[in-house]
Amino acid sequence: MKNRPKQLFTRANWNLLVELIRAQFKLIDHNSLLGFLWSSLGPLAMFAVTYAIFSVRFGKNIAAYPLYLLSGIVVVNFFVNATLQVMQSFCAAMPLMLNTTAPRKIILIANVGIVLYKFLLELLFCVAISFFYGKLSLKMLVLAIPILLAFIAFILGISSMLALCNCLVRDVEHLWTLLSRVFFFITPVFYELKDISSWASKLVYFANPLTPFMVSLRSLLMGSFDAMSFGYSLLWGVFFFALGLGAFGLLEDTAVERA
Amino acid sequence: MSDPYVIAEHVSKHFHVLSQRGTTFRAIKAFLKREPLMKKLNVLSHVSFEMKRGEKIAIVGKNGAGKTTLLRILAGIYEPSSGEVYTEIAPKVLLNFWTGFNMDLTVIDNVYLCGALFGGERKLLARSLPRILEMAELSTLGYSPAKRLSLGQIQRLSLSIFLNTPGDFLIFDECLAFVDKGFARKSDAFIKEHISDHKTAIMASHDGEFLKKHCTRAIWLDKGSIRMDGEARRVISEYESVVSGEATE
Repeated sequence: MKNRPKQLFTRANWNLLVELIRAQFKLIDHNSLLGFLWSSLGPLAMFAVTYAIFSVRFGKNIAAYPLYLLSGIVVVNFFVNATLQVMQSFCAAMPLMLNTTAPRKIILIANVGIVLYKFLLELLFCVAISFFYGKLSLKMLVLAIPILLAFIAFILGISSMLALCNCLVRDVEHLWTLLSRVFFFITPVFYELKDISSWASKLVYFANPLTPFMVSLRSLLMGSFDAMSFGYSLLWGVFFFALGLGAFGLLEDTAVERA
Repeated sequence: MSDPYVIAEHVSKHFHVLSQRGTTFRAIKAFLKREPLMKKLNVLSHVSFEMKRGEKIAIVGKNGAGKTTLLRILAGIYEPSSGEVYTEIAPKVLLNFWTGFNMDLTVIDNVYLCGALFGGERKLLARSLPRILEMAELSTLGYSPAKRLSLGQIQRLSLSIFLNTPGDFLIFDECLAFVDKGFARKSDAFIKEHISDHKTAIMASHDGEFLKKHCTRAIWLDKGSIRMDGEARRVISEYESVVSGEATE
């Protein structure tokens, strides 16, 4: 018999989630004069470097290449930062999980919250650039909502699996830190799929679940709609969320006891 | 006679611990030689008891007897390896007084954060804030970072938040270990008032007098099994005499 309460979204748990996120907000860039600007410098620096290097080679055929590039960086950055944050914080929250009845899934979600906030601010910046290029429409913004929800579900799914693995074997964190850098190259951040060979583009599109999210979000920002990527994004989001949730339910006790 | 509020039936718990210092080399060697790298550590063995609504049970036993593990199982933090546990409602748990605190946040922020961990909502905590701070004797330090507090002050604050948030079923472990005598007396009175007749509580402590004062029944855990279960004064006195006898030997 499972003694742990099954219902996740009770009023008390919702309240706890809000308080955990609120506490992280208060500590964001703690004791820093420039605060949020520091965390925005990373994507901006990455943008400046990649733009300087790749704009001539890849940018000449893409309209609004700065928007194309920045939206790609923002999406990959969110994925990498959120997965790393959840993985590290989940193991660090072990005393909390061993000494309180706080649901572990709430701790997991709370850790995505703070990275999500930064992502949404960066995305808002992309929306402003899209407006500047005259590519923004209300219809596209509405269509972005299901993609964003699917993207968050996808990240929660992947993060929960990584967090579990990291509790069991700490090498996962180092491995993921190395591997996550590769995502900037195996996802079409600075190039288009048609710029690479046919087999490579198929591999990047179908074997890398991050690609459909990036392609669909970016096409909306660029004023078009990619139905296939939209569908794939929803599919990957639901699939990874279910997989992560299932794995978490099965292994959370083992992970916490052995961490 | 009321229905049982808590049922523990043949609850056993074991953990897998490393049988030697765990290095990659040893792990590979153990894998190749098919030797087990981990060994089974039995912490609880066939613990069974029932508890009625309103009962206050003390859990006593030496370090490593399985008290905290039992409390964690009752709280739903651990799943038993075998056996079953039923609790009518989710308990409010205080197993470690510094857990949940964020030392960079202010005392007041920590009241809301820890309060949420005990199931308290912001509105309710805001109303109880003066009382919480006053009980913890921290009324003037509300906006100081928690890292400026001493261990005893943090414990007072934690206990004060715990006792000022709602809950009918309480589980707590060694909650007065580091506090000064003045606060211990104050907490004693407050605990007496707080865990009134209708509340159910399970508490573990090495302070026999504290347990005798607040509990009606005691369970003595010895090497993971129940050695004695009965009236609090009798069980605790028996436990203390055995422990002091062992110490003088």
